[in-house]
Amino acid sequence: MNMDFGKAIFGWTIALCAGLFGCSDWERPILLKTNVVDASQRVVVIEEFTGMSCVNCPTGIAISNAIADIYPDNVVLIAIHSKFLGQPATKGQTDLRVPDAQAVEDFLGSWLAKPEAAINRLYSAPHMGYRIGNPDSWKSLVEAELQKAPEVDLRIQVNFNETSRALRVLLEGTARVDIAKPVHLHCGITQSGIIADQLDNSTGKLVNFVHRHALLKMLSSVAGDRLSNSLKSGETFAREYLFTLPVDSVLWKAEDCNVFGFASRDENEKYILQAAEAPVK
Amino acid sequence: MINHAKYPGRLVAILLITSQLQAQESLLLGGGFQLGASVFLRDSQIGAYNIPQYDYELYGAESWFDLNASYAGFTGGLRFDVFHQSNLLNPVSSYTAHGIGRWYLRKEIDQLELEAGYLYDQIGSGVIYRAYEERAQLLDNALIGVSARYQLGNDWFVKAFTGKQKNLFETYNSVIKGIHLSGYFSPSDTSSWSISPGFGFVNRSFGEEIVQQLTTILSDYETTDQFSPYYNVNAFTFYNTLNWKNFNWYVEAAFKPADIYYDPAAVRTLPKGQTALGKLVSGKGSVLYTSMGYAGGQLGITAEVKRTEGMIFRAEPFLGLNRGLIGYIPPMARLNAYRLNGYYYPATQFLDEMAYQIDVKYGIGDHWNFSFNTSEIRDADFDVNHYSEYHFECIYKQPGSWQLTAGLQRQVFDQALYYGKTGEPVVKTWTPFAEWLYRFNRKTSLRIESQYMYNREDIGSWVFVAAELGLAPHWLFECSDMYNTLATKGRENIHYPALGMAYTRGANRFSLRYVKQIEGIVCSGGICRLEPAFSGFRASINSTF
Repeated sequence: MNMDFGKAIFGWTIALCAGLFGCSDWERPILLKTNVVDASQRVVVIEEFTGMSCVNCPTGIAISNAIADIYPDNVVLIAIHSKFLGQPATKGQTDLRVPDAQAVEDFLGSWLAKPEAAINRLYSAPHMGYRIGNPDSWKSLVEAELQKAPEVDLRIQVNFNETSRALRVLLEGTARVDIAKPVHLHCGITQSGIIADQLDNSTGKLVNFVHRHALLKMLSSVAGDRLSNSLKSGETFAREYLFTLPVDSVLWKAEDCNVFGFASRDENEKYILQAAEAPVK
Repeated sequence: MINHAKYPGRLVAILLITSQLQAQESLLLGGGFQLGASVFLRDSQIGAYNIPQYDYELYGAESWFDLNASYAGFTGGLRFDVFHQSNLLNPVSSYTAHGIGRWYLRKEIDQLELEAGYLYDQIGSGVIYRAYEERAQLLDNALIGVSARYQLGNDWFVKAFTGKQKNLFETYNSVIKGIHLSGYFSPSDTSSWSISPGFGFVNRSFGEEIVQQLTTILSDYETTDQFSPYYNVNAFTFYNTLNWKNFNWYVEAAFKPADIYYDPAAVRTLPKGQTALGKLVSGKGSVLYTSMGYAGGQLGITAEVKRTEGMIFRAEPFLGLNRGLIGYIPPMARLNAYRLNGYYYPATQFLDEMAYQIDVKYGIGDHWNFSFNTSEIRDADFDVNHYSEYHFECIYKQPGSWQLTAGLQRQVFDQALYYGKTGEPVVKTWTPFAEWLYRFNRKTSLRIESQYMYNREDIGSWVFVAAELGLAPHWLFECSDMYNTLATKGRENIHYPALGMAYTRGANRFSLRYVKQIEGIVCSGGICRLEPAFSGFRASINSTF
């Protein structure tokens, strides 16, 4: 062993560590940017997995609502109150754990935590699934989707008979490009303005919290109804959904309900191509 | 309590000499095999349902096959990992994959040792860097890269490494590199004192995609919450073990000047003036840790103190739970082996924690051993109590015949912090326990253990009884039951039985168990994860060769 060489390495190591102490200051500063996307024709679906007994979910709710506020014409927000942490925060209050919400959760893969959101059902390789658990990243994912041109145009017409409470939804669309894969069509109903307590990690419980965009019912099958095995550019499609709104003291208030529809790839790929939304009345 | 190498320099020298003696022109092969397979039997009464394994897959398995070889001064290894419908990755999901989980090649050239592949290593007690594997939690944060270690005399070495942290069969999007210097000094071979000092440095630089993502997210923040992201984060640590007669004293100070991480307690401002908890922050971090020990005669005392602030250190900033951890912060609570004593365990808090632990062991004559352990975990300002434990244990041994262990444990556990059950009251338990081991002869033994946990909150009060019959050297039979004597929150009183057998022959061990198990949190080394309720059969094979 050459001790001089050893001493040199020893000294060099100490000097290197001391020198590296502040090396993050060596970096050039990174400038932040303005992220608002202008005039997109894309309508993005945010399926937010939430629950009244989920203490961290108010953060996710606030962030998803803020995204919807920024892009009111380009975002369809669907709150999925599934079984996990979905039980009412106060016993006896409205339970939003409807069967179709659980079915959507099962369809998109099991949870790791809440809040999570699927953005256009885009598969995330790092998360190994469709659900993204970091609400901070939702807006950038939405904006990335907004910058994509839609592969189909989708229009929604809603007719509601207040007397019979019969609802007729017509989804019409046109392919903008050749789509060589099966296309599915989905339709469902959400309701806002539902007042029920919500657990919260800072206050313990948010009393009389206003829940928005809660999924009540899928009018299509959860995996979507198959339109065709492929679409040619310019090819049109249409599908009608009929439903009668039940009568309930809290749920199914027509004035607070929205109908959404979206076209997606099949149950294997799931990716949402375009969406549309309209109020029931 | 951390295992610190008291004489790393000498240990290295011994290993070097040993390896040189063994560096013959013959191929040495060794390895191991581990298999765990489960058959899931749906039981909605205990919550064992609504995941793929119970609903339709019915089966899950994990296996690791290691092969290590050395030849002509080279050492290498290969590990094949298999996950079939496994819920180890996500307790409520199914994961199927297989592939090479590890390979490595090591070569010594005089004082220089080079290694490439999947590297496991740590600096000091691991606060700024620890690459290790914990299969029960599917935690494997090996570094895929290269390392070089240079021996400086008999007692000092310097080691540098660079790589990317493993993420199952992929890697995280950051590069981690570091260097550490460690050694040993004693005035003479007969000296009553010695020191083993060291220091280390680790740098993590995010990949371009991560920084772009950070930039996008931070740009969305309101001005009051914004800061400029950066690629590089540094962490430093200084540590030393002092040995003096029967005393030893380990101290480590680790710190990060700045890092970007998600703080769930930070208040974020939203566009319309609302606020929400949780946001990205840029802040410094530190861990101060010390342990003092005395061992003399029949008395052994260990005392540990730790303070942690902002020391979350991950390969990527958006990871959670036990994923992507670069460092390892020593836990500060007793690891309890008995079922009910170990049910509540405080996961290490990376952002805000101050804790101490004292452990005293004392023996009287050949028959009696007493031990007392206490720990308390609070926030970094030591204002708010999150966990405290008092654990007293007494063992009476009748050599060659029987042994009786008895004791009492008191725990105070903040389930709002550790389980995220905001608004739920603090859990306070009293848990007496006893174990009786009787040896009928040299081959046959019977072990009976029992605990009762008195608990008015969370899962309520429970009793656990287990019996284990050993027929050395091959057979082991066990049966146990766990029953909630005080069911809370509308739960039912349910039995959780288990029945099993294990057969050992040479280096091979086979086991088969029927298990009903309550949902809980499984912790190892302060890292915890959800263990869902289980109902079904578990089989395992463990072999070494």
